[in-house]
Amino acid sequence: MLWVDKHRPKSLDGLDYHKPLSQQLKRMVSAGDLAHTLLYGPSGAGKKTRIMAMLREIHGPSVERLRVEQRTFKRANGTDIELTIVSSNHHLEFNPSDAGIRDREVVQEIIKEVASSGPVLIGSSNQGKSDFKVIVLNEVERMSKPAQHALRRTMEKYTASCRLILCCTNPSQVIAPIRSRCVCLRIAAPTHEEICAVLSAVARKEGLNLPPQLGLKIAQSSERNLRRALLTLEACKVQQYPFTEQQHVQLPDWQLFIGGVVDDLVSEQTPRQLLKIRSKLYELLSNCIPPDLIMRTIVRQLLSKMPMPVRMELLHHAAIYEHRMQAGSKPIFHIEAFLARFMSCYKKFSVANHGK
Amino acid sequence: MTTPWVEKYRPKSVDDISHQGEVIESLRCAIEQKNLPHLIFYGPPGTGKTSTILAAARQLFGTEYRSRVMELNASDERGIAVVREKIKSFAQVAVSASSGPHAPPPYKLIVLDEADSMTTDAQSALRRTMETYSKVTRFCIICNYISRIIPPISSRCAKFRFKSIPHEAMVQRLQHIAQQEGVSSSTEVLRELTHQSEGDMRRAIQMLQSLHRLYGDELTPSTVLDISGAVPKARVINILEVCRKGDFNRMQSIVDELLADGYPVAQLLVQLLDALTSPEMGFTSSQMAAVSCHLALVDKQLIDGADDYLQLMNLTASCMRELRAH
Amino acid sequence: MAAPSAAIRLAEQAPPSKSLMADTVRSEGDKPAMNVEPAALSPPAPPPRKWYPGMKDDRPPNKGSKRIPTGAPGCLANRTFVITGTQDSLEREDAVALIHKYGGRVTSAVSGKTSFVLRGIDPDTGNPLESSKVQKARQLKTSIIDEDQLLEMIRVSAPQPVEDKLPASPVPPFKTNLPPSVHPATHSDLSDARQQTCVHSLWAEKYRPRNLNHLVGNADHIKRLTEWLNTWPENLKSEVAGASSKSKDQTMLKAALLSGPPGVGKTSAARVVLAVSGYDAVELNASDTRSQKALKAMAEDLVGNTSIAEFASGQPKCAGGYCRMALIMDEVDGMSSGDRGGMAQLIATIKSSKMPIICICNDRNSPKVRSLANHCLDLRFRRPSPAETVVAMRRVVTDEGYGVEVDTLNRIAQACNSDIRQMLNLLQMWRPEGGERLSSSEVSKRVETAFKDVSVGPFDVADKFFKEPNTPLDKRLRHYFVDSGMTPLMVQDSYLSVSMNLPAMPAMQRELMGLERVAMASESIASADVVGKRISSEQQWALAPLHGILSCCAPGYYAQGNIGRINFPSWLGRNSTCLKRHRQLRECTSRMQAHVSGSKEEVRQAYVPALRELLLRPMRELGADGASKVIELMDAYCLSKDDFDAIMEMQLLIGPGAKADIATVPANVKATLTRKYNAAHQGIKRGVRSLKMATEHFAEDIEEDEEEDEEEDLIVPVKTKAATSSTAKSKTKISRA
Repeated sequence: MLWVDKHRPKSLDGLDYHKPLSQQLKRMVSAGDLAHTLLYGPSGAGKKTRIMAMLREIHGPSVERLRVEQRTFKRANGTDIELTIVSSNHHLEFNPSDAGIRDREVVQEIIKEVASSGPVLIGSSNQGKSDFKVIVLNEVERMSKPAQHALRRTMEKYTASCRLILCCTNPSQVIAPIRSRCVCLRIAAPTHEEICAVLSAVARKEGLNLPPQLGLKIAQSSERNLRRALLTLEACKVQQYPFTEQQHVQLPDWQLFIGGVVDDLVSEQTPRQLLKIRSKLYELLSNCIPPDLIMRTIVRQLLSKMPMPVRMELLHHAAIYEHRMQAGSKPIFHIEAFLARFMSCYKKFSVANHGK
Repeated sequence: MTTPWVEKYRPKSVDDISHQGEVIESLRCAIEQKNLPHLIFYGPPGTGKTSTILAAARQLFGTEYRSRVMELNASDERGIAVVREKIKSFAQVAVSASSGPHAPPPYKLIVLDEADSMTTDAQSALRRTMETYSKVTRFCIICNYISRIIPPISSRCAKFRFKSIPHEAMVQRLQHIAQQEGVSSSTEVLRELTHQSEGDMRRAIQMLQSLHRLYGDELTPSTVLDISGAVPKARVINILEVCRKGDFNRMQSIVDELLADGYPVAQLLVQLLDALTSPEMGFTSSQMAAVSCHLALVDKQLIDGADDYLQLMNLTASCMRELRAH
Repeated sequence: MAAPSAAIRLAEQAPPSKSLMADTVRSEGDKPAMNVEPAALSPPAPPPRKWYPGMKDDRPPNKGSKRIPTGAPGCLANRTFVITGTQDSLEREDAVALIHKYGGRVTSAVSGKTSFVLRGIDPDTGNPLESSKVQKARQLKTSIIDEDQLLEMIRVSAPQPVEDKLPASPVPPFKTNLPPSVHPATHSDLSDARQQTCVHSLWAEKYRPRNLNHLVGNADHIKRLTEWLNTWPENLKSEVAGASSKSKDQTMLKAALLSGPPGVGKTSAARVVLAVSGYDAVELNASDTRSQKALKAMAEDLVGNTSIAEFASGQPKCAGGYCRMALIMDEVDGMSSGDRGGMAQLIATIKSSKMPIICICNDRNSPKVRSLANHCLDLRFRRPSPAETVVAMRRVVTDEGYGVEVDTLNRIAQACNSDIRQMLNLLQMWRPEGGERLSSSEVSKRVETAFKDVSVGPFDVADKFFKEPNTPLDKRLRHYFVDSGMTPLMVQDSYLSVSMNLPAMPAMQRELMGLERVAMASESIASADVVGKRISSEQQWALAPLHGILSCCAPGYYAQGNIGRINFPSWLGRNSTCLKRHRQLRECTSRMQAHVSGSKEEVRQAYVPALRELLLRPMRELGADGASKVIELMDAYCLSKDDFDAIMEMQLLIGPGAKADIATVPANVKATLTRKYNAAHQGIKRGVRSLKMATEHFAEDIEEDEEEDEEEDLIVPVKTKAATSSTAKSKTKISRA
């Protein structure tokens, strides 16, 4: 088991940061009750860890006995939808957007089923505790709008037997009626200092000696994503131990690869170069790097290398092309168009300023 | 298990509905005469549309509520097939007319909640049904935006617009609930609540309950801000100040931090607009106008699913250009 | 078929009459018409196969040159024929079929019951044949006729009922046996009559082959098919007897798969061969539901049935008792999502079938069909050569009564790429008014218009957008519509490789302008993608022209210039890799879900790079001994070997010549890992794995060493069960450590 999962805090008290929030959560569940909750925040901030800790607070350690189950839903027209569901006796967790455009039916189906079957209490140690089941929905913002609308009434209808915990990174994509029916909790990503603290705590548990500088370096490379920081730490340990302060922190392959693309962009602006970059973009996309992340990373890295006027244009075009990409179906076309536009802008600028 | 306060404090009779003057007046008339026309209720969320029709239905039908009222909302299947079958079959059945002063009126009621999410096809399938069975069935259509309802339907109904509830009235109502629930809360907290909920009564009550759950009795205005997901005011103003100074690198790190802290960008846009137009900031009208345009565009693109970081960076870069130039 | 002059004379002078007909017959035949066998009415028996191989090479010298007349039904009833030698224009099968058609019988040896011996010519000398049969016939005083006489017999036939059952049917006045050449007196009537028949039937159906000789091309396949059918009953018998496994001979297969491009006569071949071999065919095509259930019901219905025709005739045709039914599954590659499990059921049906099944498809290489092909006699039909088709077409054209030169037909055949059906359609459509000759010039004109759009593919037009940016917009749009799915991809693929035509200006300026144009072109392509999504997701086909302009015309205009060869768009391949990887990632994530909190993006971005390092490091450092450590980690996350490979595959290589991390591990260590992993997870997932292993490049040497792996403790199998859950759909329990 990797450290990031091995040392995941299990109880609300064991959480490393956002202490006040943990207290509030504790109070919220202290009566054995739970309101519909929406947790939002960037990935690697600890949303799921908090959810599990909350469930444990309510139902005790038995929520950690997990089943992974592949469910198949039959549809009226004979096609099937497959969905992976993780569940314990007290809760059930899945990712509705996995069902694609059929998410609405699947969510309805599961919630109705859970609500009608009631809680499963098999000889567990939680007598006298609450008797509702919790449904954890991941990536709610990716649910289609009809599915979200369908959810809003369902949430009210089945309050008696089940509670929803929704989890998402971008609450703006969750429709207002759902947000207004939930206790909304923002989970901010840990700061660099908080990450450093966690890193050294984990290192201590593993019996390692982590120089603070290296910890900070890892924290900075992780963009305030604790999960990424912990995984990097472990990769660093595998690469070189004992740690040194100057140790090289290996960035993930995709970041380095995009760095290569950016170098290409800056060094030469010709159609031929764009053709070369195109094949790299294909490489990225076929490695499951989401197109918006590619755009974002390219822009971020370019910004630091560009003079001010180009930055402005760069951002302007990036916003437009990325937005259009969301409405299209072939991301590569949009990224390429953006890069072509950038090349043209940058070339114009350098010709005008250096007259070369 | 605690029932949501929203349900618990739902008005029980039409008279309990606060601050929807004319609507209530005409409804009361209709209830007394037991003659309900087809209805359309529209208005912003949390202004009591659903509460009103449910209360009215209870008053009208009393004990026969269950058999006479069908409530359909977005979570129920409401495609064209359902309109053709389920609604129609319910609408078709005649009800036995009973006499007596307290007898319910001889028709049924179909409440279509959240009707703006119905497809146009389903709506047009509805129009014939509404006419044909109007003798035995009345419809009440509830929506946020009347423009989403096709004209043939809205022309068949009596339209009632629900206004946002005034802040004072909301504060009063919240105070009442707080007392009932034994939550000690200052007027400032309630004021902040009403402010954050933007006239949405349901949201205000929901937030009050959430606050109570999370913080117990120690409620302060800042806790309200916390729960509503609002960005602290200082940070909002800071953005505009940095834009004015034109410090690009500072800007970049501010944006990074805002996103890492998980603030919803849509929320930030609203607050930016507030701050921008507030007189303390001292921007000229043309600056306000120019930046507002950018805000609107970015908001739209965010709704379409565009990337937070790129949009926010673009916005701040444009702000920088606009605010510095003048 | 008689020479035209004779035919005209006959038609003018001797309108067919019963008495005359009878006279003719009597004068020519020695045997009285009373010598009847009752079996004459039953459907034709299979032709004597043993003759076939020898006869095949002797093509009739004037094949197809004579018109086959239409005679009254049953006009040859009660006559028994023996055919010998090569006929002038008819192939043996033709002649047999012709005789059968009119109720006659064909036997192989001359006997007292033989009415006529049909004497052909000696292919070597060209003289009338002097075979043993002819001599025997002379001995028995059986009348010897040649082909022309036979045809004339049919032509002059009047309804000649031999039994009460067969009533005389009136002969339509013009349809039967008028000569093909133009005759002033009958001209208008002729065309009228033709009009009638033409209006009512498509030639493609009307001239669907009815016997083996009508089939054009692919003679060897047809022969194999016929042989297969003929041996079918014995094969079935021997299989029932338990001797089925004796050989994997092709003829042992219970079904045949005919594949080939449209219009080469697959369906016709199947029908004709079945008919000739005496089977009743049941045909299922794309218009029938062919789901598993439907097929099963169908198959159960059919097996053990006898056909109605057989039932009515009151005598089972085959002594063995198995039924003479056959199933034609047309368009099997069209079994789509609606026909769930249809293919599997079809294969199952084939395995248990008691009747021959002939499957027909266009695309032999589609994956669905490939699995089917293993169970079938695989016959791949080719396009017949234009020369072959021309012969057939000429027959049709003469039959329909207008003249076409061979050259012209050749032209049509080439244009249609030997698609017989299409040729027939064209010939019908272009049939000149009133039986004139179809002039060569007209045909070439029409061929041009008819095939202008058809014969160009996206590869031919994609470069035109760049090379001819000033052609009218509607013309360029037409290029787009050649293949509106493919052309935009090709334009996108190649617009960066265009050497652009730019006005003369300083080099720097040129470069700038070029870049600006590229930017405009790619922006247009990006916009087109948005439109394209609208089209496909909302079925807004009205937007197609806009899509065409944005995706092809505009980029072509901006990036106008010269372009080399247009390549196959790389997007297609890249996209399918992308989809595959996403699927792998999803599977991987779903296995890890019990332990990992992130979404699949987080798994890819954070876990995969870290896991790759952690999975490989032990093997790199400890060699083969590291394998068990690796397996431990894999089991902790319920990862299967496939997931391992997927994680290794998902690596972006930075810099030229960079190698994937997996390459740093020696091959023998990898093999050890595979072996150990399989040993530890054997019992659980053999079924699942055995399939996958076949394609896996790690599978090298699993067999050679069966040593047990002691390092694995007992908990492993329990855990890995979850790993297979996506395939096995089993519920399992994992306790979080």
